Amino acid sequence: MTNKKFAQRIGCVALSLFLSGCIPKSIIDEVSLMHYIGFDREKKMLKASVVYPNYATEGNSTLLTAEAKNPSSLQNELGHKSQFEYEVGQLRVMIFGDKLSRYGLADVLDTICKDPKIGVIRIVISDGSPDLILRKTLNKSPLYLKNLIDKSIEDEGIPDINLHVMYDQYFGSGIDMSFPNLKVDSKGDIKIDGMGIFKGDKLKFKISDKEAFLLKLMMDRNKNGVYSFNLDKNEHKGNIGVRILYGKHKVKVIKEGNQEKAKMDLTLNIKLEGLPKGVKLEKERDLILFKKALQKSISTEAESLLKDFQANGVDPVGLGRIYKVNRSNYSEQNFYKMIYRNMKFDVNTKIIVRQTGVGNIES
Amino acid sequence: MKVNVEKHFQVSAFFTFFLIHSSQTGVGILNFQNQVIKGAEQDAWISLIITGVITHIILYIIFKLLDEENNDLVAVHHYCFGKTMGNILSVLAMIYFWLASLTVLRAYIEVIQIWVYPTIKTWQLCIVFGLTFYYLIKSGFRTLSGFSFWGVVLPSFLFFLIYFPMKHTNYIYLLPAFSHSLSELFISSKAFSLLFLGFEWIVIYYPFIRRNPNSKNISKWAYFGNLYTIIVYLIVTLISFLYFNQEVLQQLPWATLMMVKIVHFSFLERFEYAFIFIWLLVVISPICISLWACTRIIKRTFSIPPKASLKMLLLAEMIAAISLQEFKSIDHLINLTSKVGIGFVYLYLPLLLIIKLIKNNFIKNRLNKI
Repeated sequence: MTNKKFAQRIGCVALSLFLSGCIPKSIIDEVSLMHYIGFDREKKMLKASVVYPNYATEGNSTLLTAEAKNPSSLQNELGHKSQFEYEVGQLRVMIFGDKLSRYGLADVLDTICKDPKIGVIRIVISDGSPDLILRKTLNKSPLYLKNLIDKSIEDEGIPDINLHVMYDQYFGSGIDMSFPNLKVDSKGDIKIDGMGIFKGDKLKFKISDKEAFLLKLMMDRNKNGVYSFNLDKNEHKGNIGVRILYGKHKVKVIKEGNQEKAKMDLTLNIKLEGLPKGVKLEKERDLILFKKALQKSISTEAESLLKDFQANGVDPVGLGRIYKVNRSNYSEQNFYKMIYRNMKFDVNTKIIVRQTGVGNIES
Repeated sequence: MKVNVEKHFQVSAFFTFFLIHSSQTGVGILNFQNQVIKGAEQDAWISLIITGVITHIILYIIFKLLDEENNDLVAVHHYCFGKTMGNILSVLAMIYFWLASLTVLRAYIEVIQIWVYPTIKTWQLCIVFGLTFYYLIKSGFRTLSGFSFWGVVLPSFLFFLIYFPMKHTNYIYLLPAFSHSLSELFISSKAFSLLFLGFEWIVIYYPFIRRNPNSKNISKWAYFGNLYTIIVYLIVTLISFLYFNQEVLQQLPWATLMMVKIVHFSFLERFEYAFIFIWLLVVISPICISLWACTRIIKRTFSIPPKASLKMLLLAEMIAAISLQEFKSIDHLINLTSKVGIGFVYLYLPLLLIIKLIKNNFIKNRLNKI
């Protein structure tokens, strides 16, 4: 009796062990784990370029391209060109070419939203075709491009954009998408160059590095980056870069007469590295003068950036979303047609000089 | 009709906490968000509290329903409706329990198919899981309560994961707060009640919990179990509302798993795969406890030994799970179960209590007359 029971139990265990062999398996050397994928539009077709490292042969990474009419068959087309099956599970960066961004990303974005295998990836756009950029990454280390973008977002004043933020901005009302922009510079290095601002799923216009940093100050929690400005007051002249360590932003939309006004308060803690000749921060007067000049510079530039957005009819800061908070009868269309167009902007900056380094400040 | 369960089959009252909590948490928590926001949108967390409180009241009703004399559902049915009618009603309750078990199993298999192995067949998973369930349920109620203990304790470390989405939360998504009418809140409440279903199996395993003669121990632990469920759901709901805005929640059906995507460690890029399999520990308890309750009802009504009925029930469940092929039919199954469950728990049980009280009165009156 006990023997029979024992045999039954062993049988059960053995059966479940064998059955787990039914699970589909992927052997790491026998899949193409793509790290980067670039999408662009070519001759009315969707073109994808993928980069995957060759772990088996220890060679450089490989770049493959394929064209198809829709994103799903694209994967198939790519599969026809490679010896191993594709896996998108380790995808880190997705690049959209200029033509596709201007044509509209909806097809591709809807497909990624439905694919549970894609993790929280970085999404960027590029000047020209993504091929140019991906080709440059081939002889670098496999995660080069991902680290480059991560670091720029962490320290160098590019707004934090990833798949989650994309969902938020793409589906959410009262905010528009924006992605960092990549380009290959004249020396042949990959470089982050400003951002692209979208309206709906279409690229509307691009902003410079400096403007991207201002945008980051207005929307991100992390405000790390360097702001450079021209000091031109009395006898002090020169271009300085200040590093912003951390800070806060507070955005409000208030009614002023018939107009809505977006009021933005920035509190920024900065670190001074170099100062132009003649500015001595020990002197109270110089410090105040310097702070005022910096505050004014940031405020005016931020205001003109907001006006720029307004003129182009885009809202990457998400003012619509802030407007919505206190109004139950909000409609996105109405807001952008009637209110946003006539909105006024008021940016107030408060600077706190936290550090001036350890060197002798008197020079 | 009192059921006497021998002492060595019983578990201590403390386990009620784990039994109640673990039978409430199933697959629903992985994707409830886009259902519950249909009425009250960002205010749906208020509906959650409403549902939680109502569930508390139902638990109170259940403890009123079960007393010294009639200490499980079958006995109550016999007492109120007589033998034949009572048996019919018990069998109907059993069908609902079986349906609940099937729903959790099929929904979990669907999660695995969608997220991890798109090409795996339902029958393969069914056999692997079916053997596990058979082994667990056959070992009896004590093993099940032990399992539900570990099914609550082990996955509780997953709570630390809320640190990762915390970094991306935005309080603005909860505003404007309190802007929905009561009827909208109730629509969301109804959607939430699916998440709370499962605690009602206590009407079957109640005799298996050891009682101290002097105390209200069992009900105390049961209330704590439900309270813990409310807290867990509240945290998950609030975090997902703060992490996603409402429009995104409408578009993404698997919000909890989408939220887990943001978790990554330097040695583990995609945590949601680990999460899904850790979740197996959580879903085993509701599937097994409800199936065990089915076998118990069959034993009490027809005196068929659980061993035989368990095989039949499991087989039927596997066949039903395999025959649901379209993704739409799984939705229909979930809808059906939630409707039946809401009817059973929130309407039928209170009604049963009223009938029982009337009957009590009636008998008392008659005794007085004699």
